[in-house]
Amino acid sequence: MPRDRSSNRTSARTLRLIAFGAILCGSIHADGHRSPLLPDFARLQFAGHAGMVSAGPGYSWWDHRIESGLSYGWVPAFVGDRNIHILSQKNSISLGRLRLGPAFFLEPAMAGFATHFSVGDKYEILLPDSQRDYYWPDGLFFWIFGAAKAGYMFEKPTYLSGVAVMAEVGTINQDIQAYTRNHYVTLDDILSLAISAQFYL
Amino acid sequence: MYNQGNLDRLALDPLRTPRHFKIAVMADSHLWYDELKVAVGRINLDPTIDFVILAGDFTKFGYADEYDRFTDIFNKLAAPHVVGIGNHDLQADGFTLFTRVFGPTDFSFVYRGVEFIFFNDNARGIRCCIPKFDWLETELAAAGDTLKIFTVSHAPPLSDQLDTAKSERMAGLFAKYKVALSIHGHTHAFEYSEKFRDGVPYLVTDAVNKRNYVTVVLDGDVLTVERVFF
Repeated sequence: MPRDRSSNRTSARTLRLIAFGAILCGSIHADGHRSPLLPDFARLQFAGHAGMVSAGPGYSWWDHRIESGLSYGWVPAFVGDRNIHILSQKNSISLGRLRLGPAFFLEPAMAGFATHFSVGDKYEILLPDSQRDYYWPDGLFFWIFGAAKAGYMFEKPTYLSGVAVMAEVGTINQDIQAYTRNHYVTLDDILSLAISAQFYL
Repeated sequence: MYNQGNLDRLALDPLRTPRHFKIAVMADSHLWYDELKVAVGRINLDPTIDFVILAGDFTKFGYADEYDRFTDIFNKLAAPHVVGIGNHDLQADGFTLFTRVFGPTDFSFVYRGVEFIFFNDNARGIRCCIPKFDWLETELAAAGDTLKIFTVSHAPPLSDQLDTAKSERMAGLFAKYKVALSIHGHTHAFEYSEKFRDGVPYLVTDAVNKRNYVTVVLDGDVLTVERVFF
């Protein structure tokens, strides 16, 4: 199968943008003050329609209970038949937190949504004029999920102030359409699992 | 390949009575899996149906999951069944998926004295070469004087998939080679008429959510088209 050169170019541009962002944040941080631009966490995720693996920075509020992040995800050719690149913006809120001792915490009920853009020349995000108002842009999809998170905050933070793992169960808007229209399509058919590791900075 | 496997079953046809058969035709099942499942069950109750045609748009987004769900249901048909490609099935990686699951988008076969020609005419937003008119004319010409011709493509002429020039070229070829029936879907609205008053009948099926399919009976030179509600 021929390589998807357009997707590779897009991927390279995306990686450069992420690297530039990281350098910017780091340089501002180097003067000794924590910059508001410095992300509050970095996340590494497996699955969840964001790519087989995805990674990116994020910000949090309300003692990390509200989080919002960006990520770049990749589906390798041996899984997706060709390399697929996905940009995501993800938000979540924790509906409650249990303290298990001074450092451990558990957030058993979280909810959130993400917007995924599949970039490249196969999936459309902005449809051409001839197809606008006719097709749903198949490069754009929304992931809604419920999740649980377990974490550990370090007493004496160095580079990291804590770590957490999160398990999500969710689905995308296209699958919700199929589910709501049919008895044939069950929840089992449309729900997917995602696992992520989160590193608090 | 899905289609080739079913065509192999048709080739084993023990009767081979020329110009005598009954087929079921439907299109545009999209995300209506419940209705499709009922349609398959209803068709299976009719042992006189020789084979089934789905004239494209069995997906809404062209996703792999949709291909899986559709084939899971359609495979339960007792009769052989052949699937054409629709504009929605082509979205995203749809073309690759279709050729991998079903085989070529443009193909033909002969069944009981009739040449069936399936072709991709989903040309909206495509700059070049859809439909493949040269291939189509070669196939039409190959039928000669001895075979009747049924064509199957998703979009009917003068629909939003085919501009006026392409529609007229397609209709002109069908008239030139005396196509006996041109089968389509896409508009989700049943129609059976001699669209261009040139002797070529055009059949457009409802979408599957309207809970009907069409049976086409050929008995010699007599063609009977009937909607079957379920």
